[in-house]
Amino acid sequence: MNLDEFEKRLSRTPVPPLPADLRRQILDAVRREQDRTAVIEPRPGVVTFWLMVCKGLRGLASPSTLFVGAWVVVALLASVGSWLDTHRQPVRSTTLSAHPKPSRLEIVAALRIHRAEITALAHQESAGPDGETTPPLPAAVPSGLLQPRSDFQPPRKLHDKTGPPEVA
Amino acid sequence: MSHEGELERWYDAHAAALYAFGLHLTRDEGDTRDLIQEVFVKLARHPELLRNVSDPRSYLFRLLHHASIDRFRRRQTQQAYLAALAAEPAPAFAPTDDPDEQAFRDALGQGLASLPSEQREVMHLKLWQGLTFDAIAEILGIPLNTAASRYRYGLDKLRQHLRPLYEELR
Repeated sequence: MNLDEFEKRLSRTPVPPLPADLRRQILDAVRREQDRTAVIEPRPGVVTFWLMVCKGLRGLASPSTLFVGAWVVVALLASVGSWLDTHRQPVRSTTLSAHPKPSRLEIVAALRIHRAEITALAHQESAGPDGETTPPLPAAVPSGLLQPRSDFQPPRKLHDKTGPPEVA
Repeated sequence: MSHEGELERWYDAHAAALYAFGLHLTRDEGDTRDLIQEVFVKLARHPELLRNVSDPRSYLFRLLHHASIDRFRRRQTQQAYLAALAAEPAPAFAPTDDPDEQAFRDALGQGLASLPSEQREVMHLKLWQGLTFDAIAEILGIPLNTAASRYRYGLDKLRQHLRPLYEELR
């Protein structure tokens, strides 16, 4: 038996026909799958973005690309740092920033309150502990305590030219 | 053209070849139908697979082959399953009214069934799909020389099997 002839004889043998109902079965399954996928398809934007990033990273996963990407990241961080150094606000003291400068009206109001408190305190001390005025001195006071002594001399004023009488 | 329309066009163009190949892979009509459905559902689920396909038929053969391997791997008792199938007549070829031709086709089907599945796949793609060994090697994921040697061994076994009947029919 010639081999080429045998091969041709085999290849002429027809394969079984396609079942007629298979087309409907397959296309129905395809349609169901597409409907199911269409329901699932609208993903949240964050998930879609993340999948795009992952796909992009997979596509860029070569050593040279990773090397260049690392340098780009470093350059970006350095530029952000220099921008912050240029544009940042001057640093304030923590205590000063915790106690902001009062306005003039606040100072005046605080002074008035303080004066009122002092005045009230002075009145309270002059009135006594129970709020009454200081009682007058008793009438029977030893005379020696009220009369100046005989050798008493008032203090000499600094600019008094007359001066005290001289004792002979 | 819409994705569904494109899949419909692919089905009309390649389903018959897929069905014949699937019968040689599984030797069971129900399994073949399931495998073809699995392939098209996969394409419906991932429309991006259809892009940049230069040879749709070879691509579909490859998908069908992978699907059959996955299916058999899922079955724990693959060998027992194949042994059970070997006892049943495999509908490998179209029936005919000519009794001599029918006898030849039955014997051919039995001879193919007796071959290892690796040789049977290569022989089907070469003889009944008319593919080159390059294309067969790519579809099955095997080296070119392996595809050629499997074909040669399978053809020799088949010729030995069919020689008496073939000589008689001539």
